[in-house]
Amino acid sequence: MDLQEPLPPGEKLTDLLEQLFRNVREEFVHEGRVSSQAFEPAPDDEGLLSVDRSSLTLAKASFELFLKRPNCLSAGVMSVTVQECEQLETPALENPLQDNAAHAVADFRDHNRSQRKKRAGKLRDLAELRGWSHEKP
Amino acid sequence: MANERPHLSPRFIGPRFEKHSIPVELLPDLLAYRDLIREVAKELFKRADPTRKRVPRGFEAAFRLSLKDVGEGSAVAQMVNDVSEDYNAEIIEFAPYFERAKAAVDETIKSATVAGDGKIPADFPVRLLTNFGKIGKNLKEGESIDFGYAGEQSEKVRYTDAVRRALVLFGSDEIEGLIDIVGRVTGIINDPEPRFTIKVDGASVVSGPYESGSQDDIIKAFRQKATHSLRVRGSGVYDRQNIVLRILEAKDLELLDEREVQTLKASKRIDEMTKLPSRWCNGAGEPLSKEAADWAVGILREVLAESSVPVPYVYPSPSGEVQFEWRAEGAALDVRANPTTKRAELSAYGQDWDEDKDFDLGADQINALREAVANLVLRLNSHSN
Repeated sequence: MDLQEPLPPGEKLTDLLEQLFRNVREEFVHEGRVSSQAFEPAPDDEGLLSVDRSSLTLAKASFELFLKRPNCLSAGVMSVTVQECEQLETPALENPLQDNAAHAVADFRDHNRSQRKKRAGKLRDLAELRGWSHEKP
Repeated sequence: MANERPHLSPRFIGPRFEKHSIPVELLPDLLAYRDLIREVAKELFKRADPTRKRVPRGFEAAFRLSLKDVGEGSAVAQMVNDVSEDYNAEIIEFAPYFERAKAAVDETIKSATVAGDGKIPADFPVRLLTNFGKIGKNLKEGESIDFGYAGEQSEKVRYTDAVRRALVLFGSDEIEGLIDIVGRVTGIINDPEPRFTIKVDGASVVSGPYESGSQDDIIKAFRQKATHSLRVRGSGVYDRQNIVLRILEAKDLELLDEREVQTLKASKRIDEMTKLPSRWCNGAGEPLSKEAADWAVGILREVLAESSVPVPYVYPSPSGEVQFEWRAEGAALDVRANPTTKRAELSAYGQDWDEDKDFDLGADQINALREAVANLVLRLNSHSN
């Protein structure tokens, strides 16, 4: 997960209405439609999907921080809520990083590959309904 | 034979050259390379003696390339400076200018490679940069010419289309190159010569000439422009942003309906996955190999052979798979095709259902995959209705 040594995730986030920002890689946008992979932990992510908490940062700041990492081209930031993660059994957990206090994760670890893909697709569907929180200028 | 000056052995690298042969359409590149060295040598001679406006008679005879053989590796054009007919003292005198010119051309090429410093060497006249436009114009993606080749240990002077573009655009706002565009034919003009205009997707209208043999295709494309696009392959002129400004030659024309256009775009998107940077997704993910991309395009076309299946959205995956995704409101069908294992994983969901299937495409389960996709697309459509 990301470039820093991952720390164990902490407590569940409790504000169900809090939005969780997710940077969507340019590679995961085709003709304006977002791939489910944008909300699926990558092979090296150990089942944890990185997000940023709206109570601690802004979508634009999340976007700008993402761009500072190598090979990270973001098409923009979408968001889901803590409640939506809870309903899809991918609970949102605290996971602050040294350079990003707003960092949290959605926990997919209880699910196999097939279940992860479908849950990621459903998170994507919810995020698309909400629209871009911040779009690449 | 004694009067053959040092060898030049440009090495052509890429799938087209693996049989140790060079397609004839690339031979003009060698001619353009020779001409460029001659032009640089002339300039060096005049710089050495500013009182001279012209080079002496017989100057060019000191550099006369002949293709003697095509060797292995992928294909090496073994050329000699064949001055045996009129070898004389002048040739001995002028030869160093050509050797220096060859070095200047090679250094200029190296300066424009990824590892280069971007500085044009002092021996190379900047006004001649546009001459690189004629060298490598017919090189395809993944092909290159090593102009420094003299055996495996030689220093590489790797010339690609990207190097060609960088050099020409250093001295000009436009560059000629191969084109492969799709658009709607918006007009036909017959005065003074047959020309057509075409509105390219996401770009402005461009125009170009067409041969009389293509007239029927052009007229058909114009009449059916509401429903059909024309794919044009040939040559054209690009600007610095790699946008086609005009068509120079419309060689191959193909009339496409909307589904064929979308299929072509999805196929090109898979081809683009060969250009992804290494570790493109959080430190994971490699670009697809050409073979992997071709395989994935083949799978896509096989699935789309069922006409009821719409063209999916297409994405790369950090696991090296290609993802095909069909969408409906609250439902989706996801196929991950793996070029390494030759397997495909299908997963689908709606509001109150889901489905998973695996296919061994290496064991010829493509028909089963096509059928499963067609059935699930129907289900997605009924879901959203």
